[in-house]
Amino acid sequence: MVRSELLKVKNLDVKYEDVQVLWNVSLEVNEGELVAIIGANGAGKSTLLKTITGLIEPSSGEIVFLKQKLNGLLPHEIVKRGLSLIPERRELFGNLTVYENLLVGGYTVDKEELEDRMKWVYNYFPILKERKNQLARTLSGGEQQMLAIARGLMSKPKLLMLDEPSLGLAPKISNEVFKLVEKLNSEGITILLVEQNVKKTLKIADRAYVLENGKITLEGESKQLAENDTVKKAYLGI
Amino acid sequence: MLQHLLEVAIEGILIGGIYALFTLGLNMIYGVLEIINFAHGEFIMLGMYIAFWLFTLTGLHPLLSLAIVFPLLFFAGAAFERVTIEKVIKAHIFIQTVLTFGLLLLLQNLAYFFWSADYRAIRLNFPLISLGSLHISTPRLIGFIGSVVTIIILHFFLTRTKMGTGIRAVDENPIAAELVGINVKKMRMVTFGIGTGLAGVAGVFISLYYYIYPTVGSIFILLAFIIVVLGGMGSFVGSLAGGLIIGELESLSALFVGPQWKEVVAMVVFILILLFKPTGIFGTGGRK
Ligand SMILES: Nc1ncnc2c1ncn2[C@@H]1O[C@H](COP(=O)(O)OP(=O)(O)O)[C@@H](O)[C@H]1O
Ligand SMILES: [Mg+2]
Repeated sequence: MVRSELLKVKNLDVKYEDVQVLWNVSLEVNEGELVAIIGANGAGKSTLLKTITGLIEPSSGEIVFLKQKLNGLLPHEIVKRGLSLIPERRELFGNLTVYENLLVGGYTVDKEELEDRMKWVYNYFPILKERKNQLARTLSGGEQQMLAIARGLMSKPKLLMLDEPSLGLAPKISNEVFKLVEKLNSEGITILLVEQNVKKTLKIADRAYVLENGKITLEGESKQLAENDTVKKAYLGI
Repeated sequence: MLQHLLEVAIEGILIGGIYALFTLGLNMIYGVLEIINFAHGEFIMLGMYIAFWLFTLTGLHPLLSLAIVFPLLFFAGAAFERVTIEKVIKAHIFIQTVLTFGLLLLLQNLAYFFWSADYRAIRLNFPLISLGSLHISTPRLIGFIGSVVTIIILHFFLTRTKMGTGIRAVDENPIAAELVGINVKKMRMVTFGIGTGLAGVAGVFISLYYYIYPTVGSIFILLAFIIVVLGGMGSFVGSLAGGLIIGELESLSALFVGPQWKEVVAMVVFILILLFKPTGIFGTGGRK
């Protein structure tokens, strides 16, 4: 199957002040794929997503989305082009209601479309409809993660990037999140997933990249990576 | 005596409503930009002078001058934010303070230069309002009602419109706001404009009953700071309650201690709050 290229990251170098944390990182995500980035704490996964989304400016390298360069654009401009990041630790608007969080999530969407989008999201997350007038910070951890994902979906992204969505969740809820990510992908949403739960991630992802100390050290089909000795030892505890 | 006390208490509430209005402007700016606008009182002063000159030169009623004062100070504030504050938005608080404090001095000196140190007043005859045997200051009542209406409009804007909800989102989490597609830089500009516009509107209401002179803003900025600390940083309800409390306190202390002591009383209250409830009545202790 030939899939068209959605995101292409080329030779990215990223520094915080003088400390370089990403070295010559390249990756690509094709339409319809579920691609994962795995790696230990501090490897630079969040930095990579933040750079793609425009929160951090790379010191060199290129980010191309739908054949257009994103370098130099601000995050709110990048969102408009169809790229949505669900950040680490959710970053909800705690003192806004569930409904308002979703509304703001659809900030870039036209008024006419917004209602449809809201219905679509409520249909996907009935619990959020039930709690629409509740303040976001009063939700449970799992519900907050659902809201974060729902908020990220409001902008009708062509590519959804999730930064450790299972972080801090009980195993049962974490499983639900993985199922949800898989379901979203099966319905046509392209996904770039960053996770530390390597086992579950490799089960649902088509392909994966391994990021170690800021460098991509391995890449390939998830099935192959799951059989790779280095991956087994370092991330699967086998 | 009881009647007088009651009149003083009512007056406290009336001016407290106006205090709440300009404090909301200051608090909003702090919430969204995380900057303390030391020049906030000067925007009140500008509102007062604009109302005064429009009235004196063209006979325009001060309440009608609101239609000029708000847009004018909104655009002045927004432009100032874009050109200067935006440049120091991530700078150290000391640098930010030098900037807004510098604006305070600049505006005061310009007011001296153009309008001199003379005390001025808008001389309008308002009919006296009486509730039974109680006399109520009509200009203060008008200012209070105007402030309440303005606050209701502001609340509607913040809770019922897309841009208002966006501003609240930026207030809570600017990075997340940027990530959902909100132009945070634009929101900072708009919020600063709204804040200075509200200061100007409050200035117009104050000009109905108070003298106008170049440094008049200093009194109000001190009150606004105390109200913010009392009510809680970033708290809408806190600014409202704090405004009413400080207005009441000012009125009562003028009666019982003497009007020349009102700032001292306010300062004492400020220190007491710091001792007993440093996060303010409705505050959560600041953010981040
Ligand atoms: N804002 C920052 N300033 C300086 N260093 C940072 C900052 N954020 C992350 N780092 C450093 O960059 C490296 C990569 O961090 P991060 O991208 O958060 O890794 P991961 O998401 O894989 O855990 C770490 O060494 C971290 O300490
Ligand atoms: Mg991370």
